[in-house]
Amino acid sequence: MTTLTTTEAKIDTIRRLQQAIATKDKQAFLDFFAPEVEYHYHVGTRPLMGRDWVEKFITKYWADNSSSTWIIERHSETDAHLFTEGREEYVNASGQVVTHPYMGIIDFKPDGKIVGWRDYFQMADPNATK
Amino acid sequence: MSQNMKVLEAMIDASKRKDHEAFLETMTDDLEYHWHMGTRPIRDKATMRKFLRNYELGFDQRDWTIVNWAEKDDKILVEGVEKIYDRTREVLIDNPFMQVVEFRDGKICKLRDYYDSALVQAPARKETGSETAA
Repeated sequence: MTTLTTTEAKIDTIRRLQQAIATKDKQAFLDFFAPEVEYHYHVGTRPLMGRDWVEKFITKYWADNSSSTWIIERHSETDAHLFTEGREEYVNASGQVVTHPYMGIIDFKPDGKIVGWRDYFQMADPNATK
Repeated sequence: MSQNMKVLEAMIDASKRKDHEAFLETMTDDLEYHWHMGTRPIRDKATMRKFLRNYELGFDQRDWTIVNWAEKDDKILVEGVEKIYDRTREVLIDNPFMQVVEFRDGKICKLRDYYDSALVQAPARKETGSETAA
């Protein structure tokens, strides 16, 4: 069970979540989320509603994207939110490295659990337009 | 409210009034505006002025609302939504976005917008009388 401490800086919570992603520790990953989480992995696409749906999504995502890397370049936080700017990199089916610049906002409950997550980026593969 | 937040609000107010010179006054001369990540940014006021003029030929920004924001050092990170009217297709579009606003000496020097342009280009609802009040 992942321990959440409400006094912890939100960026540190997310750094620990990134560790869970890096090691593909699904249970540790899911423990960061509230059961009622609303997860917009791409704003504009139907969100994942609830932790069970997040589990289904991440299971498929990890199976399909073995080499993805999430890099946070800038961040700022309030009592309830973490704002990040960064990029995700992965290798597409053609073997090209794809970089998606993104911004995201993560909403936290007072107990430190993630209850909302919205990522903003261009969904289309940038290589497809070159 | 911080001084930088007041500058950002002044930019938003100028945008709503379609006052391009007041809008540009909130920015440094060596501005860097990424209106779409992955596209070459705008780096001077003359180009920015032209961009604003061209944008208004195609779109009418009806609203620009900040929903959440956080400040750190000389940056404000924002989540918001704008309501834009596509003059060509005669449709009103809600465009949710995030942006990073960087400041230097009380002016905006860098601006990066994050959204999916496919949402702007997607079919949207036809404008109705009640929506024009936005």
